[in-house]
Amino acid sequence: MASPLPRRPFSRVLVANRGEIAVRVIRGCHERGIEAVAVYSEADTDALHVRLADEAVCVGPPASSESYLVADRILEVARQTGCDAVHPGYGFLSENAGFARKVADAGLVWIGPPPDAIDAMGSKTAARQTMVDAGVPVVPGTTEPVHDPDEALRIAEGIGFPVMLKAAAGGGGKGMRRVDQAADLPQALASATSEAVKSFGDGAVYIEKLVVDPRHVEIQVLADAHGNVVHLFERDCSIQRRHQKVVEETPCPVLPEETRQAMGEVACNAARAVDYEGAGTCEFLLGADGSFYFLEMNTRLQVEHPITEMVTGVDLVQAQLRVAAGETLWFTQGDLSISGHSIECRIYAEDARAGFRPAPGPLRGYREPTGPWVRVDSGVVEGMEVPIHYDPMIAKLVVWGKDRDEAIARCRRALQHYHLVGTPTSIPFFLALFEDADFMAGTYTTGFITPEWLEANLPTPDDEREVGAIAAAIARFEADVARAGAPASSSSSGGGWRQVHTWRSMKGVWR
Amino acid sequence: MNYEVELDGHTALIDVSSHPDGGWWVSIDGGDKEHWTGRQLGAAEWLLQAPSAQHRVGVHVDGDRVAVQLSGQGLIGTVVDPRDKALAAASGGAEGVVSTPMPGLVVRIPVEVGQEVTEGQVLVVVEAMKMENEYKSPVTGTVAQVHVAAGASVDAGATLITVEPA
Repeated sequence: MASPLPRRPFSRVLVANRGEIAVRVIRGCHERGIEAVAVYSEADTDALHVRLADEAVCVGPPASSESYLVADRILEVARQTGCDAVHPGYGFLSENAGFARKVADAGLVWIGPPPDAIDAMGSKTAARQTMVDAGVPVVPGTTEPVHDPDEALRIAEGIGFPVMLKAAAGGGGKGMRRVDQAADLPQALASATSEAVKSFGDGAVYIEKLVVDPRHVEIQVLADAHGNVVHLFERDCSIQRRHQKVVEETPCPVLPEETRQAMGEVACNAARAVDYEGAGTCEFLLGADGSFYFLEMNTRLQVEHPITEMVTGVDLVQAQLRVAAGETLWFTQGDLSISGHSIECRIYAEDARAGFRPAPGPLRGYREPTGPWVRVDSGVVEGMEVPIHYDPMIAKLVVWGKDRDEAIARCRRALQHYHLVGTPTSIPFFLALFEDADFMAGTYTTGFITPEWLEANLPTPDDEREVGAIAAAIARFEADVARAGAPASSSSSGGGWRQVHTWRSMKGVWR
Repeated sequence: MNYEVELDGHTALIDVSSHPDGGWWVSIDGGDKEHWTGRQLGAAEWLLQAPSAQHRVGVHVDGDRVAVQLSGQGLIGTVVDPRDKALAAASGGAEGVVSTPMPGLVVRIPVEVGQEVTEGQVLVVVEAMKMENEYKSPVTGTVAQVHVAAGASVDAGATLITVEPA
């Protein structure tokens, strides 16, 4: 089968992304002797990807709509800097078929799947139909968008409550509603539709059966431009907040081998059905009874790809580069196996205790943990401000162990060694997770994180808070002494008076 | 020197003074004095020796605000001289002042000056990191001042709205 895209060797890649994934791609390029050109916004001038690239070009103001999402500007930079290929990373322009076509039309190699494959998987309703036709099991529901409340009711009663309403163009939990009974359906349909319009500019909503207490299990696939498709086993991504993943592990602790094989074959069939090329991921819901249903295919590299690399030994970024260069896959399905266990924790600048509220801030102190089988993918450096304009992820901590227990112990150790001062993070959540009986038994589902669980499991241990308070007082004492150049007691109080006085008189002037 | 340290919703009174042999006398909430030693190692990192253990602690003090981290637990709070706090309280109540703990972009202000609001009513919506955060009125009263406009970027600690309590 001939690829519709130019697939030929290249020597200089434009990395159309930021943060840790831009760094990850630059690493892959440099390991293959390929140069990498970075783009960055005004908010990212100090970022790690800018420092590691062979050349870096500012493409606009902080807002991604004026920088990382401006396809024409990024293409212009690719031409000006002599690039012959473009890697989109994840997010931003990675699943934008129009951008992929522009890249190809400009005569550059697109390090991603064919635009038609992106289109085929981009609309959830269209993808569903394609999958049904290819014999891939999908969650019972509609393949056409539903607008009429009466029609919606008839369909929902046909497949049985509870049902889920989902925006066809959706993602990230936007435009999604759970409906438990017929009476709630009209209102839920109206609000899901309006949210879909607001978030995606497309109000199409479809209905599907709600699989109760599912796990989110996905299969990594890799395809070349010559018709070869393999899968690289599963990742369990059931630990989620706001419908977004925070912890991933592989292998899935409860997946029977025959189900793993069946899911892998189905994922390869899904990839073949759209003439896929490169790295992609098929997401499935896994029911408690072992049934599984195709959710969607992500036509790009995933955030959580490193855990697959850790257990299979396949460098997925390098694989993307080689496939885009036209190479035939250099291994077969039979060559692949899972070795040991890997876990990823997404370190977010979020206050886990406050329901994972984003808490951007300056990284006053920052040093990543290291040691055997510990890997940190990040795009930050000490002193950097975590920008408010993008996803609040600071880093991904990835560990490998010979089995699950060893991986968890290593992960816990690495989290405790992480030096990260200045912003609350999701680290306390992970430490609590690794104390949880259900997680340790592997019997968790996508509903694991609840406000009640956070409330019960996340209070700071008293000892640590006490030591922290003493350290804070000592640091403040030293700062006061240094500033006063004398015993802090008298001068500090005098300073306080003066400050209040000044503030009052200034207020007087303004009024 | 007494400091009131608030971390994670808990307050402790810490007395710190220089120890003649180096380091500090430390006591917490009026308890026994302990001799702590240690030093600052680098950016926001301290190595402290308590009488029975060594602690590597991330600490960054910026005025009254403090960020602390140890054993993976990241805590944000305040460390204040109680006398300064008493002075600030005497200089005028801040009961109805709504400010933002994080930088962001003002999306909506569903109230206007002069409008009567009830406790818990949404006054302003600020977007940060792809999430909308609602700031609610801490008191029932009248909107006295709106300090920001929709579309404006705000820094951490910025005053957004002042409500005159009823």
